[in-house]
Amino acid sequence: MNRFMKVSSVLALALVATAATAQAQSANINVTANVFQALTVVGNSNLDFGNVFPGVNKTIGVTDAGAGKYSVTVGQAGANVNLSFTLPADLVGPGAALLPVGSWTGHWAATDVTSGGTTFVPGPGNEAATLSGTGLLFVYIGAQVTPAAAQAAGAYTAVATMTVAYF
Amino acid sequence: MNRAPPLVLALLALSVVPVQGQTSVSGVRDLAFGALPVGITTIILPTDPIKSGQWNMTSPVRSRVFFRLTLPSQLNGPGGATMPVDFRNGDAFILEVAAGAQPEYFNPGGNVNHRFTGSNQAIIRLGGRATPAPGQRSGAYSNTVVLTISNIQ
Amino acid sequence: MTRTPCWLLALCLVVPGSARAQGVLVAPHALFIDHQTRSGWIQLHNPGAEPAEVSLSLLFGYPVTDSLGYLELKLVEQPDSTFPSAMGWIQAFPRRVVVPPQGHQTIRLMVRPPANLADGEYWARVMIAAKGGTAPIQTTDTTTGIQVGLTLEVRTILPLLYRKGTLQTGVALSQLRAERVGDSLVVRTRMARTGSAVFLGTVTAALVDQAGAEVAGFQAPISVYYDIEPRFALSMAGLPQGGYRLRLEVASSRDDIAPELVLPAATVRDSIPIRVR
Repeated sequence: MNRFMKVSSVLALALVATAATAQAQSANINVTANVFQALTVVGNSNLDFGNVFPGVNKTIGVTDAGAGKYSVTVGQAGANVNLSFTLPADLVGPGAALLPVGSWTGHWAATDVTSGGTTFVPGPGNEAATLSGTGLLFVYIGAQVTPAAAQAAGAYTAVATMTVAYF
Repeated sequence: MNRAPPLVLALLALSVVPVQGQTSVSGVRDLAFGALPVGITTIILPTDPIKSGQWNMTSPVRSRVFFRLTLPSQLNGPGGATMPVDFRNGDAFILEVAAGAQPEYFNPGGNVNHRFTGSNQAIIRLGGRATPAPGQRSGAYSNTVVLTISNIQ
Repeated sequence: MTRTPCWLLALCLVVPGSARAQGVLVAPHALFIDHQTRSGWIQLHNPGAEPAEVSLSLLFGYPVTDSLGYLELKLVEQPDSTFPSAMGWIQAFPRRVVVPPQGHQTIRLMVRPPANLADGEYWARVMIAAKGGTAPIQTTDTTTGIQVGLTLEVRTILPLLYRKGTLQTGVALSQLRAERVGDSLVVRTRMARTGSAVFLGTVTAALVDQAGAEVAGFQAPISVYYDIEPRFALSMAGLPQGGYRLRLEVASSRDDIAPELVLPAATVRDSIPIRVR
């Protein structure tokens, strides 16, 4: 075999080998994410007094069906939070009629129960609460309305605010 | 009878089979979920111009490229924490860089093949979804997606 | 004599939360802003079925403990120069927004600190108030068809830490003590913060018997701004009489905060003997 044939054979083998090794190509990208804990406060249900009669006080306790309910979720087991409430002294009705509301009661627990947890009096002061092992807290509130004997008919409304402070 | 030199034969063979070295792929952008609040499912569409993952592929016109994606099932985070990540049918597409080209959506978990018709360049985009579970540890999570060209014809 | 008609008053006192759940998800639950970027963000998500009107305001405050060891947030309306307050430097865009049902909104925070600000950590509190839509209330008034609109509101207060320069932190333990209250062991300890930044960490306690086996314990996140004496409780239900040891450890790690945001500090430990009678 002459020299030209030898060289071309080597080159041919090299070319084929190069082509053969280029069978698979790959390229990477990354998948990235940054996880942040969230704090969720939800007002689940109204404090609902239903029908009220003039001159007849009506109380809704935390264990009653009409109790107001909040839930708090923080993604940290055992986290401490502060609860505070801005509560009305009166409900406002037709013609600016006032219907007194008071005797607030509260209950919080790490599970969705209305007894067996911690009872407290909702108000502007801080109520220290601890979330469950899954970062949950359930708060129920109740109150009493005291309609006068001549309380005007109509609908009465108010706003109550729960503030949750995370440390 | 003279025999064709081996070099000539090799060159002929390579001209019949498209030169695989002319097909290339490179990763150009990560699939970046960004900030994920715990408990919220975040979906990145493959059409997202910023967050979707992207590769650029070059291959001769009329070539058919077979490729697959090796997808992670989870992202790895601080202290050994992991977070599931989900890829579904339609979370990826290939789009040739040519006027009038339409994206071809595919299942990123399967084998894919594409014939280059209007251009020798294409982009491949990947989206996905992630849901940090309650109690998911905070911090940065990551993993890798590999695009492998398995055969070229 | 005719009887006075018995008027029915249908009332619904609305506390945040209509007939449908109303609230807001806020992330992150603690904000860290670096002097180099001077910007941050808050992500809001409305999990409810009604639009939520959300407003943002800034406060200054820090956690303290009362005489019983309960943590509470002490707010200072007008912090003077003795407090490391960042309250007046922070602007939020937008400050008021309506988040659609199941929708989300990002609020940007921009910080304009004073010139020549000294290295250190500066604090603020971000309050996010979410107000839901009005909801009709069924009434049984027999004379008029009365519709009632209700306004629902929840508020969330989050910590914000603004950091400049190299910071150090730590905590020193003292006065570890415990007393039995019912079926619980109430543990208290004094935590004195060292360094120039808030100590963020986790308290881990274990009650071990004489064989060294852990029979009860707890773990809780802790943030030490100024010296505090927090209380913790662990269950003693069913524990046999005898001698135990309470071991307390405070480490600078948090599962709910990205590791790079938690300033490292030396882990501190303390322990006391406990006798169950």
